[in-house]
Amino acid sequence: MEADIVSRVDKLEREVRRLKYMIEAKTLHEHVIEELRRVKPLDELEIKERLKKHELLKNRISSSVVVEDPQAVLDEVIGDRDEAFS
Amino acid sequence: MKLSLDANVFIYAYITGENIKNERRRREWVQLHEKADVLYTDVLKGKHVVIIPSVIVAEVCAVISRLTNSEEEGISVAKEVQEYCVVVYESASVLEELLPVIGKVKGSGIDSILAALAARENTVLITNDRKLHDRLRAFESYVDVRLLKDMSLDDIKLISD
Repeated sequence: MEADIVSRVDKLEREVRRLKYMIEAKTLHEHVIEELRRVKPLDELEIKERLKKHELLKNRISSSVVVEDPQAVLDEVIGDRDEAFS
Repeated sequence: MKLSLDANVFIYAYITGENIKNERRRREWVQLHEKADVLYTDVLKGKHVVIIPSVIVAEVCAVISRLTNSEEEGISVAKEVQEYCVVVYESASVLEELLPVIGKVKGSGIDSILAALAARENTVLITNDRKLHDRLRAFESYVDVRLLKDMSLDDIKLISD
């Protein structure tokens, strides 16, 4: 009887914690709206900087590829989601 | 325009494919790179906003790390994606919001989360995964999905206008 009550209280406490977390956490759309402001470039200068930085990273990554067939790796890692989850 | 990009689109955007030895493979990759590159350049310019779940960032990191045999390079790309895209982290409340659509899509975990987010935020989902594309076509009213392979450069430029 006592163990049953302890277990039920414990379960209720967990549920309260979950609900409290959900109330405090932002909704998906609130998070997106807030992030939209962050990702928007401020001006032309920022766009130029972004493009320059990305170009450097892209060229570095492209010249660092060590596999002969990137598509095969892509298919292996991403293409088999269905097999992995079905 | 609001977009959700699949991990494969990011990979094509970051890797030019010019060093692929097999000519046919190189040609195919370079074509996809050109399209993904135009798309991602427009994202950097602020013409599009990309909204993706964090699992896509994880996949991009994993594939780039594998392709370059360098975890640092995988992380560098993941960090840049996080900087310029809206990344949604799967918290308890977010999952609760996405579950009804996930239930309808009935795909793999990652496909379902990506599709559910696209449906919820009303984005255009671009993927090069034909299976995912075809499955989501069945849910046309939920997700506007496009296959990168089937899109022309003009189609891509058009969505920026």
